[in-house]
Amino acid sequence: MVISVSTGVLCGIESRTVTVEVDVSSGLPQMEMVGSLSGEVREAQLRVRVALKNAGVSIPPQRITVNLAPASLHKEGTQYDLPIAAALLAALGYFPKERLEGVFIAGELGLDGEVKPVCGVLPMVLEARRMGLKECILPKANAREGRVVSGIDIVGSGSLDEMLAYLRGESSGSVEPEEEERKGEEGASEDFADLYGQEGVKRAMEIAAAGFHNLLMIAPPGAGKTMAARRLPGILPPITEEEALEVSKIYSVAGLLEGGGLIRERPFVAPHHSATVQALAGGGKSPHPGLISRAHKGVLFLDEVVHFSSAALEVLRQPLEDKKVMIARASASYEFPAEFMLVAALNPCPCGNYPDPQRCRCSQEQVRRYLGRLSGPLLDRIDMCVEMGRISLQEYRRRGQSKKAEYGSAAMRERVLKARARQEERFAGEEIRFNAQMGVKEIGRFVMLGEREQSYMDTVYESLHLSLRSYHRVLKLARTIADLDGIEEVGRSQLQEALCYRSVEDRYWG
Amino acid sequence: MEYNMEQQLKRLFAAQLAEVMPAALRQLLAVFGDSERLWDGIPERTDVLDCLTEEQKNELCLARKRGLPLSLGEQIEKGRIRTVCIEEEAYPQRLRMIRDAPFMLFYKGELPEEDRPVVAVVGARHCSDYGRRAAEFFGRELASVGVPVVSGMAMGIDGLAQAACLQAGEKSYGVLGCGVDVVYPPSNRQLYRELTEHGCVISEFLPGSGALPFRFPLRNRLISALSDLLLVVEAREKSGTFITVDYALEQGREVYAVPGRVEDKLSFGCNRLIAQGAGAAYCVEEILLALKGESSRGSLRPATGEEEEDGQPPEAAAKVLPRKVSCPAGAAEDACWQGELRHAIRKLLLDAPGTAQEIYARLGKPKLAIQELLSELMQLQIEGLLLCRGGRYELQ
Repeated sequence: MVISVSTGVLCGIESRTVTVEVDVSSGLPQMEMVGSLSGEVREAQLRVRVALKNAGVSIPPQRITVNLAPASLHKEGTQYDLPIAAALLAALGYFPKERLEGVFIAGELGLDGEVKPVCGVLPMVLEARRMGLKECILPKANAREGRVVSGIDIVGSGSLDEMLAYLRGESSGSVEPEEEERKGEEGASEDFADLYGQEGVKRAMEIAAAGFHNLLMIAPPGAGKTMAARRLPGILPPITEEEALEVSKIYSVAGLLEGGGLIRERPFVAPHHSATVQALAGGGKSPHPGLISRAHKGVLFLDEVVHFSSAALEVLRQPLEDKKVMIARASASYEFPAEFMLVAALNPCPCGNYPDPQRCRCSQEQVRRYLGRLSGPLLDRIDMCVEMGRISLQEYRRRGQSKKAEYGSAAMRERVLKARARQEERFAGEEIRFNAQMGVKEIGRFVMLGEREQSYMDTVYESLHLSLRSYHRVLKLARTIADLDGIEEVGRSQLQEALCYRSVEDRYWG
Repeated sequence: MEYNMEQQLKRLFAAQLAEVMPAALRQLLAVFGDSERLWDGIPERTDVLDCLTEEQKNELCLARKRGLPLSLGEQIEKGRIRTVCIEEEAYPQRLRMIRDAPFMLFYKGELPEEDRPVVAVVGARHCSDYGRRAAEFFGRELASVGVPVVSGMAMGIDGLAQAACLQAGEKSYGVLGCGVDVVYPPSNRQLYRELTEHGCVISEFLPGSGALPFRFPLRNRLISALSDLLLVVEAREKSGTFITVDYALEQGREVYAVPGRVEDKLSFGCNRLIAQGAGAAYCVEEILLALKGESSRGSLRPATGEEEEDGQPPEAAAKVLPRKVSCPAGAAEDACWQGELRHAIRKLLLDAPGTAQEIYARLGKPKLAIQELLSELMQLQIEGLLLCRGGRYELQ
């Protein structure tokens, strides 16, 4: 008699249904598992056997065969312990096998019968719902994560006994009361008002947030680069339900969804500059999402960007272009979403004090070489560049006394939201959503310059020795600035401001 | 050129010796008379070589055995490098005067004219914005009255002053610390080219010599020697510029320094020079007077009874204040700086350059949005009134 129950396997950040089939028949007393299994799946039989024994279930001396279908799909993870145990219990007659119809089970077993949490519950439950299953039995620790998905019953069980009691109808299962949803939307993130002075950087961040432009900060050590970047997610528009689900899926697969529940804040990821290509992009035999993907819908902050290995920086190029990371394996290629805002920071020279001649003794050549470590293709994808100076103590004290609300996060976010609304209106029915995504064609359509502005740009193009690429970038930025200012047509002052943020190669060695 | 090809090669042979044993070569030349007789005489007259050490003797014999430096001659011809030897009439008189005059000069372009005054402008390689402006000011103003600038074509003050001089239409002379066909620093390639066309680049080192540290102090003695007056624009407390100053004093050249602010490290050396008796280059006229030998320098003294009797004071007091001087911060530009904001920006930047954020903070105008300031700064930059380097705004 074959008993079957559904569980899932992770492919990238999606899940696919796997059916656990258990057959108990006469023969030599042994347990066999088949179905293209990796090491930790194969070990399941030992954990199941001992856990069942410790739960007081005696396994008869019969031949037990476990198959995980589809057999062609490679299986990794520890979520198969619980479904195998459940199917085995049904096969041994502890409850009718019909009880397992339409049920999704995932969980890892300890030897004492405890059910331990597993990774990727969120996409698995989503897949279960899609397949039309009616209930999920999950580890207690993952239950909240599962409850995020509506339209399917979630039962959390802390031990094998609990699950057995539930399946036999002896307990109602989902006994724990619905916890109050964790509110992390407001307050938790830091405020720009804490950053005294530095209006220039704040303004630049506001523009970057409004148009989804990638940003490069050049600043001496201790100027507050990290502090500023950390506050950037707080002025981005609030994360939508759909986005939250997508981000949470990534974190779920990475096993980082602590405490369960959806992620309600835009992520801020700041990898150390020693990060490897795999750490950034993701990797493994069946790939896990990397740091780039964890910044999905949020901010990826690369401090000391010139110290990252060039291979690590090159890996950013694809996600910056396609908004996703593709990892190819012989069996399949996996896709991780990675739509993030890149904020890179670096010192202006090896000693960090350029262009202050009183303190910096680096030669022009050293400065050039230092900044030259940023590759051209990466710089091409960064629209804005802003310098940040050290703030003097007097200035710091003065600002501390009179906090300006104008550059607090709340006011900035409000302006950003308005600018975003304008963009949504503009790009309704288009492929793109933000000004930063405009190509040359879109710039021609959406950034209309008046005659006077046009002739102004003509003179600027010559006198500042702009390249055509930086010319287009200036227009894109000017569009965002006009959106922020609430102006329909790009004017001269917007162009002038945009020119101030033109990229590093123009200004340092243009 | 056939007739003196051999003579030229013999001179190059001596020039090669000058590279390794300059002092010994001078002695040898004194014994033999000139480079031609030196070449002809060496194999036989080993007796006169007593002034040399054993090592130098070996070196000399080896060099003689290698024969005439044909490849060097070819290199010079191919590189269109010109030479002038101390035995020739065309050798600069100013150099002939100094104690350790180089045996041969290699150059590209035209040598300085003998009867025109030349000013050497030198200073720090990593100069401040103030130094840059001062160097350009003096280079330009000197050129406008027909005084060429000689310097080291280095980064910073040297090159800036020379470039400004060339731009104002006057010749300039660059003395290199490497072979005359080597462009160092490479970032001054453009300046190098212009120098070879309007003025010249000069070096005492053999063509192809690399820019090695020991060559620069040697080169400095030629900078001061080729000039009539040495002007130091910016120098730290310890600066290679003082090597040039020492040479200038030894060679009897006037030394002037551009005064700076007390707190500027880069002006410390200059201010100290002035305190020690160098002239203060507070305007171009002061330099020009010094070139004519009519400087008002040092005539400001306490009025003691003795001087009163000499009948000096009235004239001296008049000399302290020259009749007409051009102030570096020219009033002509004022017209471009109209408008309240521009005015305020200019006032701040005259004080010290700064980043947009610093300017914003120093303006202290709470009603002004940062974006308005950025727009204004960009406009000033486009109009050519401001310069932005690495995010720092300076007056052009």
